[in-house]
Amino acid sequence: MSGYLPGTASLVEEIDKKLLVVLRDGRTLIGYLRSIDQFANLVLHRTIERIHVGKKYGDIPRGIFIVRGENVVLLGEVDTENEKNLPLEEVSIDVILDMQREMQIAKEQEEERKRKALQERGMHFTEQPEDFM
Amino acid sequence: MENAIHVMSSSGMPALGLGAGIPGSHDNELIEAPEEEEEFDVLNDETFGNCEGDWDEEEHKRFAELEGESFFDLQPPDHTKDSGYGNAERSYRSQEEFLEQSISRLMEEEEDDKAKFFGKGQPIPFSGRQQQVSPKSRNIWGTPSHDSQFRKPADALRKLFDTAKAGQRGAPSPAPQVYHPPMPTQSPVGLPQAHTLEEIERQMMSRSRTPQVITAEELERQMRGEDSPRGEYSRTPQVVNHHPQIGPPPQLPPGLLPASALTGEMPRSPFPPGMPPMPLPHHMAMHPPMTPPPGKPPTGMSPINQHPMANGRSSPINIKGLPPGQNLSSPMGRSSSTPTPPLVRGMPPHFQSPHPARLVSPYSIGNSPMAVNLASRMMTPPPNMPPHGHIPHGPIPHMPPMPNSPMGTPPHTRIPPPSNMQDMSPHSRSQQQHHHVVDRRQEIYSQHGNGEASDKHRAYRTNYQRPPPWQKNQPQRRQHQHPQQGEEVEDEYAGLMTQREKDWIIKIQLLQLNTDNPYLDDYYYTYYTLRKKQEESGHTDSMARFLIPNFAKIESRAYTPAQFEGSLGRLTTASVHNPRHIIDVSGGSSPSEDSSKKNVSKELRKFRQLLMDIEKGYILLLDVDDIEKKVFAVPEDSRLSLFLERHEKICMLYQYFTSDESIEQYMQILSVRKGRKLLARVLPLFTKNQAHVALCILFHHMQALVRKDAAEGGLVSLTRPVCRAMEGSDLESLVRLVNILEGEKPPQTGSYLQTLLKNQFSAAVLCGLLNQAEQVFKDTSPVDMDNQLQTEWSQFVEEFAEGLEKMALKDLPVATFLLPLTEAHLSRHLNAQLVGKVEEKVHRLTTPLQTTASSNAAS
Repeated sequence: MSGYLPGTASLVEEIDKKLLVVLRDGRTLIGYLRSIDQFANLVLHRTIERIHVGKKYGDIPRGIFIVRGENVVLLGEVDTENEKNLPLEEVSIDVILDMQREMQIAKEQEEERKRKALQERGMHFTEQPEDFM
Repeated sequence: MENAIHVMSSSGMPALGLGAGIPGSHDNELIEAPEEEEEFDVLNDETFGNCEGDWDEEEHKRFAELEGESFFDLQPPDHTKDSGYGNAERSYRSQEEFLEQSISRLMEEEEDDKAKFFGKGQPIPFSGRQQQVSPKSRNIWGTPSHDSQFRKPADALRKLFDTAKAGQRGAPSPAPQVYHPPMPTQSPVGLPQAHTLEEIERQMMSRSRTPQVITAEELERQMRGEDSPRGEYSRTPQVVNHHPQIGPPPQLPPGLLPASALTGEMPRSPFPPGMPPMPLPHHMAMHPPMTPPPGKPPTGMSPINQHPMANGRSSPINIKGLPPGQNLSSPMGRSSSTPTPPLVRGMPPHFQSPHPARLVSPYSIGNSPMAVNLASRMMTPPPNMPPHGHIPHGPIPHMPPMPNSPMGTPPHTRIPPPSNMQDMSPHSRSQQQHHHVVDRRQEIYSQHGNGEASDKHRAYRTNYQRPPPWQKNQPQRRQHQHPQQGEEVEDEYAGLMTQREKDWIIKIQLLQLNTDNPYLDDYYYTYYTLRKKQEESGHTDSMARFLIPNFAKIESRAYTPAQFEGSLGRLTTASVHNPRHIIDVSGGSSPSEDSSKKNVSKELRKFRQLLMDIEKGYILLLDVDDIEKKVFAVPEDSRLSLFLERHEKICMLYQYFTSDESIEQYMQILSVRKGRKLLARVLPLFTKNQAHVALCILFHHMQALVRKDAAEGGLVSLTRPVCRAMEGSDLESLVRLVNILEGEKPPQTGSYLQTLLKNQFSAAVLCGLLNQAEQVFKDTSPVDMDNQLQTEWSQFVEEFAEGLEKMALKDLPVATFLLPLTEAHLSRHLNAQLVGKVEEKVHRLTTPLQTTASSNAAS
């Protein structure tokens, strides 16, 4: 809780810090927060998009991001000291993208299977995913 | 061409003044002209009287056509830029145009001097076409002084355009088109004006296309009057525009310095004005250049450059056209386009000093005699320079001669700053970031070469294979610089959001927190802070209360928008505070239950109804509470109304508990925990009489309550309030209460007591009765007391003792509430023997264990 904003939190204190931001579409961005506004739109600098699949992750450098505030699920400060000591294994971007694709395919197949099963039982179900993960 | 030349030679004041230069129609024009030509420059009229007649409309149009043709001929080379967004660019630039013109008017005088300065023998300083036209014409065929004077307004404009434009014009040599064969129909005398018009028009149009960027080198060359290798630099500025991070490719030595960028940078760092312009350009380069100053290169001091604020963050259109000094004062200059313009304007006079340093190009500083001037000017920090503004670098250390690319600046000139930096505190370091900025970047550039720059243009997919650009530098740093560099690379960007912007955000957020009713909006936090404060201050002062300010304003909550009579439909204007009423969502009745489940639902409904009733009672209580808090916020005179209101509410509560209907519900109410709580909180509010009645009712139900409560024991919450309520009762009341307790049926002596004594609450109540009685007996002399009452009471006491005696100790509940006088009372009424028997039990009933809770109870 900051002094000037008692009882609440403000992103002002997070400026120029390295943050991890999770977006509504499931993406994870890590970057330095450079600027904000009253809607919590974020300007991220030196952003990398980190894709996690299982115990592996891969980083894609993205540069500068401007994120509309409503799309942020959560954000948190990255511990710069310990961020080297992750229990996860970093792999190259291509590898992680492949893995992600496989995971996506597997998920879709699973969904398809379920849908078929339901359909056999006479239920037609369409799900509208709004926010991912 | 020949004609043109000829015309030029004979041009001059006389030609204009007499208007003789233009054939016949001109005379008419003279008469007509003033009304038609509002758009012409005002100064023009003032200075030259009739010369607006020179602006022959017809010819103007024709020239425009020709101009357009010639102009369009140039398009092919510019394909890259004309891919369709050119139109947008044009319109966008035209806006700039207008602003620039207005600014140019401001700066007219100054400009004229500069124009003269330029005019003298500058063949083709830069921006090929335009420049080629005017100086040439002036220099060769007309006396410069005459010409410049004559063309004062036009020249001013032209200078504006010329200096503003970078060599975007690019390859095609404009010369041929410029000297488009003059209209054969034109009289020679008229031609000079024609050219003027032509030029101006061309400039206007071309101006509207080109990015307003001037390279520093060009500026410098202007000042020095050298030939500039136009071809080299003509294209590069565009490229540079798109550099997000690294900056211009190294082959752009002047680094595409929008002088404005320089200026933009200066205010950003309030400290060392000694910050050499040298580093600045490069830093500027980081930010895509914006509209350049409408060229006052000589001193480079044109304040006009402010607005471009080349920070790449603000839209280039964002020229606020602020008077010179003000934009400087914008918070770090950066926020000119962001938060609010008012913020920009209202800045403290901190940043006056960078004023002079604004448009300085490194070259100009380095080489021109102005350098010293500038340097000295830059050295004088404003009086209220922020304390951190110590100049680490000393006076103009970084004004090395810049014959070559700043990119290639030998590292040794860069090292001192970093070493300085190390000594500084992180705070000051971050503020001196732009020292590092430039330094670091130069090193980066020098060490990484050009390849990297171009990479940045591509989609990031291609960068997958590379680490992020900011990481790339690490391995190449010298060891001792390594950690520093990493931080500094971040610090370069660290101050992007200025304190003013942060304050602005905070202000908005605080505004959102404003509330008229803290207890309503943020109850828990309110109490939390109150409690914290109380703890801090020691338990000395009573709990402070948040005042509920301006309660009168709450009435506006029920604001209904204006509704119109006799209109078809509901006309309302929607606003932020009163959005459109689209759906009417009122507490609709739930659909009727299934008949099969009727019984269950009926019970449920009943229960819910009961709960609702309790809620109503609670609301009354809360209102009373609120009133109590309101009282402090309200001036004395209004308090009475609040008191009355409170009293009223309390009466309502009384009714709530004591009216006939509620008596029937009494049991139910008290079976719900919330009901009990309600009663517990309400009892203290009652007057004595009211309390008594309430107690009577309570006692009336005591038996039943106790029976019901056997399992739960929830009645204990009522213990203390009941006992408190009993305090102050007189003997008569007590007796009455006891009688009620005994019930209507012929009392089986002591039997009722059995049940009562078993329950903690009732036992406590009984002891409380005794306690109070003792108090009464102590306070009043036996004479005053009614004999009959006394007798009755004694009877009760005896019964009590006997009942107590019959019970085993272990069955008795432990007291939570200290009733010190009970024992004494017993001894008053009973013989010693009986007392002795029950002593222990009484003690148990009346003396809680020595726990913190009970000690609190005792106090």
